[in-house]
Amino acid sequence: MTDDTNQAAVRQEPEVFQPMAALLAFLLPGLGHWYLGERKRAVYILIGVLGLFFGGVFIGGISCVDSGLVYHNWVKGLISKFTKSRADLEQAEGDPIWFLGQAMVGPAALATDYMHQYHFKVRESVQVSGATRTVYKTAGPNQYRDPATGEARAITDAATQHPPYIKGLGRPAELGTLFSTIAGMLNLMCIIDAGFNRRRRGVA
Amino acid sequence: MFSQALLAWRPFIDPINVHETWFLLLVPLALGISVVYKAIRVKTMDRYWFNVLLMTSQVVVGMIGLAIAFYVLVEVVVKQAAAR
Repeated sequence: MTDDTNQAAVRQEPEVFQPMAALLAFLLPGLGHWYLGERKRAVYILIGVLGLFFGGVFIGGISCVDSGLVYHNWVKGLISKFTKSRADLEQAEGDPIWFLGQAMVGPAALATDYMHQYHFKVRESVQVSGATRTVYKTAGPNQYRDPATGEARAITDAATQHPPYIKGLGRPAELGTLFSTIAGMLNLMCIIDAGFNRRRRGVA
Repeated sequence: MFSQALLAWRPFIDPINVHETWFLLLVPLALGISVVYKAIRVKTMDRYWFNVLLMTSQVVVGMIGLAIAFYVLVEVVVKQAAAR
């Protein structure tokens, strides 16, 4: 079948939502198109989205992916409402609005944020209206992260102790955040394209 | 101590130093956007890379054009208007 006849036949097909393709596209960029048999497109989407996302992390460092645990707390609050238990909320500084875009990259972005919050930030317990709240924050330039407790300690031996990461500032931070957020926004387009694939194109 | 920490740069953990050359990152950004956008936009993959390179160059040239236009606006037009 030529491209023209293929497209003519395809245009007559009703638009059908394909939830499996959309879900797979969220789980790994390009996987939705791979599932639909468009393998060349899938590879280019994978390279493009993950290249932009990890390119952003390379430029701005891990600090450019920072949910600030806002959504984490929402989920915890929701669960506590259903279970009628008290939620142990955590607090962190972050860029939750930018993270909304970055999260569209899928588990790669969620895992990067998880690593940032729980393995690179230092933790501190504070009392908020009678309850203990754990606060996660960036270690200072003269602090290191105690691997056992996750708390900040003053650096006494510069050869073996160093800050868990340097927080990106200025242009590197801006560009890192921009790259990784654009990656998420592009993957959202790919998720929609996979979910509502009308087959108007010739299969690659 | 801080300078020692900066010297021990760790990829993907610490930011890179692009304070002076940040604008060069426009090219890989435009290329990445074009790779993904054209992957879902083109009907057939025959001329995919041509379309990607065309879109990349259009974005880069467009941004340079905007930069020149804003430079002229800020450095020439606004200064002349302020001098009057």
